[in-house]
Amino acid sequence: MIRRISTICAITAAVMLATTFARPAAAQTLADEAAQVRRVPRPPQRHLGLRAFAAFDADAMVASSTFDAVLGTHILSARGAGGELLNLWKGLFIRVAATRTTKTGSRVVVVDKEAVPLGIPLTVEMVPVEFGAGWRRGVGQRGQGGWYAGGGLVHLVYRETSKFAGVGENTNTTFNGAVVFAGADVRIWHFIVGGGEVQVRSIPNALGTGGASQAFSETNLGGVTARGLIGIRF
Amino acid sequence: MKYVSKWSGVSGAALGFIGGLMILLASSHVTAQRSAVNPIGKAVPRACFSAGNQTVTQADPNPAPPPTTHAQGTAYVTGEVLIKFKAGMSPARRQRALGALRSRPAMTELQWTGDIARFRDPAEPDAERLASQLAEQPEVEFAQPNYIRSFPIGKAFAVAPLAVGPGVAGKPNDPDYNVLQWNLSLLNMPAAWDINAGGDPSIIVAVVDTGVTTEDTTLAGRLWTGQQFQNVALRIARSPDLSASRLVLPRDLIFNVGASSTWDFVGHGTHVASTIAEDANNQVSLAGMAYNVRIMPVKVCVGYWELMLARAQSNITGFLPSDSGGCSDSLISQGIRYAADNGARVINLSLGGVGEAPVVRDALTYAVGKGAFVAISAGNRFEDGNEPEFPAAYAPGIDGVMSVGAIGKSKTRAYYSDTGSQVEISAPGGSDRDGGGEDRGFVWQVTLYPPDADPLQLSVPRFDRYVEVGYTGTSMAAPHVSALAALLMSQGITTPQAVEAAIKAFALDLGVAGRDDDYGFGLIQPRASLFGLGGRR
Repeated sequence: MIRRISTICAITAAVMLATTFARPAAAQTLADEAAQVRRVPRPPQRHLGLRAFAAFDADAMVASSTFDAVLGTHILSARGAGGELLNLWKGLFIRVAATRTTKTGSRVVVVDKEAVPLGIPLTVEMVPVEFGAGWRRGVGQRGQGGWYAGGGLVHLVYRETSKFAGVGENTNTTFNGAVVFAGADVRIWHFIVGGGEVQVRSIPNALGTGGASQAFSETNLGGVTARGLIGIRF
Repeated sequence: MKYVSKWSGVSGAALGFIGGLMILLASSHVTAQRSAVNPIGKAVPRACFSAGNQTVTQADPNPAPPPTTHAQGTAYVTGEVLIKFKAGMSPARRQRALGALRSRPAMTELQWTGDIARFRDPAEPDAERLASQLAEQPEVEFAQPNYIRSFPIGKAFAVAPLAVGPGVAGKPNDPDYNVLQWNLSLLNMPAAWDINAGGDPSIIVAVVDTGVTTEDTTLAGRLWTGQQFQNVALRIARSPDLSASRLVLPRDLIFNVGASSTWDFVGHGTHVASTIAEDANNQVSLAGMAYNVRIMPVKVCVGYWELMLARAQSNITGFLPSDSGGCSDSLISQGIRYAADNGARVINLSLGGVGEAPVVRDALTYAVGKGAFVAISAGNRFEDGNEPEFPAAYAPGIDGVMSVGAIGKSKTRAYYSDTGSQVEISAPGGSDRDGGGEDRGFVWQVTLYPPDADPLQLSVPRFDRYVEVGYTGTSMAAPHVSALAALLMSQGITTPQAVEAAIKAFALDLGVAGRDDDYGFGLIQPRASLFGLGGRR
């Protein structure tokens, strides 16, 4: 009986011993893992950032018939620049941007919804200034890329000048409207980023009270813009 | 002096060919009392063709009775109808249709011009009856009497000598522009000329009218003096303010058929042509609206002296009413087609009268199809019944053809200007009741000196002296629209439909808001039409 107890004690001791030796090994593994976790870089803290860009726009005007009539196209190209203050709160950013488009066409007469050019040069100049805000989400390690969306107000300076125009026959005025936009960019090299963006602008009641726009019953100076941009972000 | 005996060369066959109008030479000394007061500017009275049964002379191999007066007042060639058969009708079917007439003419008796047949029925003087009988036949598209339209200058005229020398500073420099041409100032033409200075020489405007003299010459003619026939020399000269180089492709469809010249023995055609294209900025007298375009004179109308010459050639004695003259529908339609076929982009018709003229309507449609815009005087009979006149009444139904009413200096409808649904647009026609100032309310241009051709004062006229003449009438209004059309075409508008739309779109609305029967769409605005539309203004 005593031997049997001794045998059991011996086995128990052996197990306990084995267990005792085993514990340090397991503890070592967990520590390694913890060390590894500590080595993964923490997500960058959302410091205030800045994105500045040059914009190259292609604007498809809603008033397509009007611009087709007087300019021969309703797809207008524009260039401009903008700046964004990033990470105001989490992904929130604000932007200011302005572009300028100018194109020369001809005054027309409209007959049965068709325009007949008169050969009198007419130049349209538009400068939309955007004031917007949006949300940006970084993508990739160390924020190499990101996508964003937002909206805001657009203040449009609209000029229309014609040869032979008399007093009051040219237009130089401003309109206000709204813009929504969405886009993405990617870091190309160091701080240099490139990206693309789509905008939808609405500038109601800017047209339609005269000229070809009245003949075509078009009132909105907005449109859809495809924007290519290149700039810096840090 | 070297006489060029062109007039005497007119053959009887030619007279027969021209048909309707030359029949006038058979209507003799009628209604002399009506001619007692005859300003050249008065519209041809209805009765001037209406009576008389003088025997036609030996010079006309195709003798015909005198014209007859339409129940509504428009004369027509007695017993003569113009017929258009439906497309695809065989000669047998056409012959069947002709069988509806009592005289049962053969097809060989028809004289064809294009798809229009002219037939003179010796057995039935009532051309309206003939036309009605033929129109009932299923083979016939239309039939009409060969009406004789008038070329209505308004009610009066005034004369001033030619002026030479620099005008008041400004544009143009023609010396009497600022003095007399209120009509062009009213239309703000200097501003229009800033955009388009007188049009492009490639644009040809046909003046289908009494002709425009295209050469300096002397004709040997023969006239009845009251006692005997007298050989006379008729001096003819071009207007000194209408450059020869801008008179192109003239065509005389009456006397000088086939020749490359036309003569105006009335002054109406020259006045009309001068409103359109009188030389400007040359320090001579007055200006035209489209002073760089070219004029195609197409003579389809005759006046008193031409008829007297023709009568004398045919040994017919006596005098015609001093305001005799007119233009037959057959010749008007031929003139329109000639102009359209020879490159005219604009055609001016300062003529008209009551009675439907489907043959002219056909020609108008043809011309528009060829790319020509047509302006037609609406008529001067507001105080004489105000019946719709043709071909003006066809204008609203043909896009690219406009009928033109007249306004005076105060931008109100001239008292004589017809009203009705046919009036599409208004232009200055002048009014002696809306005058004041040196211009007295007339529309002034350089044309023949009226007293030189006054039958009440002269037995031998001359047609070589030009002065500034003021007329009134829708005849004077229509060429303003023709000139504007020429400017618009010079500016790049290529179709007559677009020209009409541009004229209407920019017209200054007068009278009741919107289109109305007094002013149509309003007063033409050349500067606004030429300036067109921007995107927003």
